[in-house]
Amino acid sequence: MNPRSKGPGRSRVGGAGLVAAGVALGAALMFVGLAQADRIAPARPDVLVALGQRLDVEHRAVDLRVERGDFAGAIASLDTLRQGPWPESELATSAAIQLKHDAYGRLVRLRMDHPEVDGKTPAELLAIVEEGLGPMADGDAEAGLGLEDANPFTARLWALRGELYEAEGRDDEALAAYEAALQINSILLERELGGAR
Amino acid sequence: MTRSRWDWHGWVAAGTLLGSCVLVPGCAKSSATSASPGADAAAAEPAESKAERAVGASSTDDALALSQNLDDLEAEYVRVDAALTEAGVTNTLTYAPKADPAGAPAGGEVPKKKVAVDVDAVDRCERICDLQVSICDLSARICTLAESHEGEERYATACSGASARCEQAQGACETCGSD
Repeated sequence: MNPRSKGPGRSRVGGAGLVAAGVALGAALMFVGLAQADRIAPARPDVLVALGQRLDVEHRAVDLRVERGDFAGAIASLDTLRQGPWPESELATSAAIQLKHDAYGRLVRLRMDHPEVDGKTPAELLAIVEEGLGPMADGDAEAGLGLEDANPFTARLWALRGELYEAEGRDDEALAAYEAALQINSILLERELGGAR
Repeated sequence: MTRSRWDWHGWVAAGTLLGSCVLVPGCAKSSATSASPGADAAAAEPAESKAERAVGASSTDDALALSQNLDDLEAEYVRVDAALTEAGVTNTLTYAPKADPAGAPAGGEVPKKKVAVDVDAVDRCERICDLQVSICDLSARICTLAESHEGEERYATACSGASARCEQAQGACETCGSD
């Protein structure tokens, strides 16, 4: 039998089917290639840029207020920022998470250093830190963050968490939080040393 | 007749090519947002055109909510920026969190190098030494905790491990630049 002859099965798999299979194959290959080349765009680049811009402006506004001794204003500004919007779920790229941790870390630090402004208890501040950490608050830093995403802002948030646990007398949890911060900072250091020329 | 000239691998090849082409416009990474959130925002396109070509803008609630808030964000940005300009602050728009890998002493302030800083120009030794400060501060906190938990293995181990990391970081800071 001639293998190239058109049997009944072959006729059912028409050109359209083969094209569809080819499209899927081509798309998959292209996706893998772009991913490996780090060329996959964030789902919402506009959101990321807007967030970055806003955070930049807020930081400078907070700098000015702190310089003038207006800690209440600085805290209020960061509290407004904290209320969002922040990207969630699939839009929460590592860059967006860093921006969020940056804002939360600065807010909590300011609140801890200036308890005279609308004083919060360590428990209330812990709730803010955990809100900032999001899902990774329930796990360890490495599992929640991954080596690739290690950054100083998340490290600071973990360290603040440790300080707040310590203030609450929850030493075991404080130790775990400090170790998480230390782990992230160590990853960052190794990365720097690995880049030595 | 015509079909006989197109055997199956011709169809698959055509499909592969088509599939590849379909993905390209959807995946091209915007240079304004690549890798670092510190991309120069001034170089970014207006929000409207970016929104139009926003890739993979899913119909999730998140996306919709964020999209609706973009105008608010921009309005807020313009308001704060105008106030800053009035106060004599120039608008450099170079927010770059990744320029600060060193972090801060434990939960302290992250060093403020975020404005108008070229990431590549930030001195590597400075970053290493900033990290050393953070690591040693955390080590001190851990060891202080360990002192009040004398005899507890976990605390003792954590303290010795943290101290070793602090020493390593100190060595890296001291020898940086001479290697």
